[in-house]
Amino acid sequence: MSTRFTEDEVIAAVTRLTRPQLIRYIEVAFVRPERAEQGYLFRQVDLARLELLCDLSQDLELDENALHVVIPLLDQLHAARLDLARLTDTLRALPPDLQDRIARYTAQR
Amino acid sequence: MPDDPYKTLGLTKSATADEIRKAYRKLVRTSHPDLHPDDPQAEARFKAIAAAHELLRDPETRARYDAGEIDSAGVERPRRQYYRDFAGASDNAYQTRGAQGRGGFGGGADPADVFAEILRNRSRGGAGTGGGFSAPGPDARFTLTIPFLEAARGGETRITLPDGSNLAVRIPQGTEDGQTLRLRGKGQPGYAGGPAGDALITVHVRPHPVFRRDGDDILVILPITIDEAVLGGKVTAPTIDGPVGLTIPKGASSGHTLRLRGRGIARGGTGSKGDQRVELRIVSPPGQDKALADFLTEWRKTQAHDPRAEMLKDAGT
Repeated sequence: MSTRFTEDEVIAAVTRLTRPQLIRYIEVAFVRPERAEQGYLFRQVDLARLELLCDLSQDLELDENALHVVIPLLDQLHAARLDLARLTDTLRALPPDLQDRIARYTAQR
Repeated sequence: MPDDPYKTLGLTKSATADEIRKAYRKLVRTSHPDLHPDDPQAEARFKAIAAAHELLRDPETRARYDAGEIDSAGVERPRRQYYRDFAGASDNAYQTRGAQGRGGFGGGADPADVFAEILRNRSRGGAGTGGGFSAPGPDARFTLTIPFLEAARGGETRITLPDGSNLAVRIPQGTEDGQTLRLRGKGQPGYAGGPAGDALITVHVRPHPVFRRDGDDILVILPITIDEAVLGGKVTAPTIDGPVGLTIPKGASSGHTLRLRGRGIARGGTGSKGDQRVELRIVSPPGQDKALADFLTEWRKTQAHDPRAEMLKDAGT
């Protein structure tokens, strides 16, 4: 997962993305590529995020204002999902009798 | 074989370009995997929708499809990666959380709060089901300090609210320090007929001079005399439910722990009960006991037992 893409490679890979649009998304921090001496370096996650931004802005015709609402909410959603997944893992790792107790304890509330 | 792209978009062959665009946009909203991260079928649906749209959006490829020149698989997009596949990674820098400690499931959140939140959302069934907008009221937060024994045995207390009224709080048996109690509907009133918020009461348990707590077990250090240690005997030990008799075995030492089964903390509703663990501590009699000193002077002459021999060897220094 340590592959990095240059700005040109990103424009080529995300076919719908124009260079001015990419620059704008970086300016408003919708994507935050790494900075290197020769320019920006993008990760896989940045590419997937740019695909999503294209879906939202082109297919759903969300303007930048709407993106400023949607993107932070999505980021919060994913943070909450991760926390929940960790919590679930933690619970499943507990001894069964403790899990029972937690289940009964939460049912009482 | 892929399906009819018109059917996929819920359209007929006579659909206008505008209808195609609208139908596609509507389906993207309901099926985009990144907008529905918990829907495992979203990706397959979205892929079909995107492929159908790809084919029909361009009048030229649409005409070729209609004429039977290409089939619906012709323009399927290569497999792409969705943001949600990366979004869950713990090192994803794009995740954002609300300010710590201000609701949300931030790093410091109490898991009990998370559960309560989940259950509460479920039981309320979401706001605004009745058409007009209504919302539950905000939760009100309080802290409460209670004595150790009240937390261990359960009880009822009252807290005075900022507005001068007061609220009865039932302390469940076995309440732990830092635990949050939720009194449903005792928070701020709801908006437009929504249910009231909850009162969240964080309980602090005052330490006890005699009892300590480890999970559901109670820990006590019990002083015993030299003769009780050597000869054994029946003594009285305090428990959270009052004094009980305890038999000291012959030849007991300091640090020796005895277990009083079922004398610990009962967890409400579970029927299980912790134990009380009694750690013995040998205490010399106060002052100088001449008779005892004389006896031990004689006794020492015939003693070879060195309790430190093993230890000095194990220390390896």
